[in-house]
Amino acid sequence: MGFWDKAKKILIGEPPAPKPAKSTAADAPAPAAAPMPETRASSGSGEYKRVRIERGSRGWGGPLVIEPTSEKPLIYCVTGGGIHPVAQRIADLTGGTTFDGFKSKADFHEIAVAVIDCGGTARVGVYPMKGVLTVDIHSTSPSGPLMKYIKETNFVSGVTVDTIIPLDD
Amino acid sequence: MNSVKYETKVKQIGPLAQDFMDAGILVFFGMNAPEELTEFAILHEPITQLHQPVEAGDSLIVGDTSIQVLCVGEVANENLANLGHFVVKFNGFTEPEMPGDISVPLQDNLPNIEPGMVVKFIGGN
Repeated sequence: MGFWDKAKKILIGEPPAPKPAKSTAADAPAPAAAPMPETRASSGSGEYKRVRIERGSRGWGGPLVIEPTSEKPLIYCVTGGGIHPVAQRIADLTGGTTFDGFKSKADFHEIAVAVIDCGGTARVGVYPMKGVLTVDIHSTSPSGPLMKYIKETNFVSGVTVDTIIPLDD
Repeated sequence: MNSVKYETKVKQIGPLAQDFMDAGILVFFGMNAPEELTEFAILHEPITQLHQPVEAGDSLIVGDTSIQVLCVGEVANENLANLGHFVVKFNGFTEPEMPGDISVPLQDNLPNIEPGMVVKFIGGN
């Protein structure tokens, strides 16, 4: 069992039975004393919800439906300045876990979506090439030598907190 | 008097950086970039922080070579300051194609980049 599977099991326990929309902190199992790296902020109750991420007014691509799972819980943020508000919003709405890619290493198979602030050439192509759904907060379009990997089904840009739409209530 | 706006030293060149160089693009990242990005990048360690924003008319110095900066995209300085990340495109554009671009004159052969080389941006005026 990988490290994060163990950490999740300690923190979350078994997945809860389906509940009405509002679950308070009191309903979640009490977290164990296992230390968490400060790069991860878990909002997980074990339930994940979907969001649709649409492009911004000057953006390209999408929409993407993002649904973290217990195997792919990470909202992987590779932006300047730590966890971007767009990544935090996606985590808050889906129950996914934010992760700062500039501080620690994650496996690609654990990533539900990568959030980047790419200026249009490098990061826009790398994450689609690795098979990771990619959200760019800048209004970029496919460009650079990796552009052949960028599709509307794996990339959306110009994203703001307002273009993230919850699908499950 | 021309001021040094930013100075850094090349530490290593990612194994796939040549893919970008073949397209006339140099991709730079600071040393804390994740592995999936360092594969494609020229990694460097800053000697200075970014003192002033890079702008058109500045000079990019790579080792002994001086290159004119033609235009700078609107997020280029932010990425340089935050992540040590900048993208130099040898495309001759005077308007940036992408918001992260720093465009310089078109040329067939990009300057040689090697670990240990100093790279800097110098003010144009």
